[in-house]
Amino acid sequence: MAQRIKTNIKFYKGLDNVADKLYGFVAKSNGSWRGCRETESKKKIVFVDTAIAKDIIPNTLYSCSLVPMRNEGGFIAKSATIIKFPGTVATVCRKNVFLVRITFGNKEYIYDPSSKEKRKNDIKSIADILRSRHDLENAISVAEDFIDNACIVKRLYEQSQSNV
Amino acid sequence: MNTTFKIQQIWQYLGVQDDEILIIRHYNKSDDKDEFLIAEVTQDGLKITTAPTMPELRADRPFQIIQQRDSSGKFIIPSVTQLINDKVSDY
Repeated sequence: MAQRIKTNIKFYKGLDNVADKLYGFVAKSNGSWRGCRETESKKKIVFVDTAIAKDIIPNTLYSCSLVPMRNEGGFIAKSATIIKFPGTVATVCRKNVFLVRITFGNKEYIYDPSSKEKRKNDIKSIADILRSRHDLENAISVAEDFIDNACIVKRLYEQSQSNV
Repeated sequence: MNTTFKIQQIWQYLGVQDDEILIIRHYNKSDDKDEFLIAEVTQDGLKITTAPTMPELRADRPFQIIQQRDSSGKFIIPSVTQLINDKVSDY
């Protein structure tokens, strides 16, 4: 029986212009296979078993078990569990800087009441995005924590503007 | 890793400035309630105090707040190492 490999991988859609075909890559690092970007040299391709493919969200990190393809040209992901990262809510209030930054994994969302961009100045939009994230641990609570901090920042920002 | 060391790491990671205070919300297991760790620079170095509620926040008193929940939903002092590892692993 082929040995299974446990590793974390992101999958993408649309290999060779086949819209629904999911694929990712692994490369050997310090003797073990790890998920990697397409730009990595000496990588091997990973396809997703059709039995689990419908549940995979592209560009999201999964903990996977892989089996080698028969031709050893790559691997098949037989199981995939989404990895949830803890959300960190960091708030800054100083001089002209009023921000709430929410990070999880390598994702970052910023609330900035002084911004003219809706994606940065709209508390509800950011909270809705956070609630919908599958890769954010305790997404509902983190969204509430964000709202609490954003309201503080908004109030202090407006106070600072009225004092100018 | 003790609390002071973790807060020093967070202070550096966030780039908190000497005229700012850093507030970290965390769950105190022995008291079964949240509390707020407040760090500020004094002549003797970083001073850390504990408050049962969020201190009064004003626009003319610069500050930073950081909070993170663990898998059970409790507030914890974030680990800078973990934050960096998460960022790298989520390639």
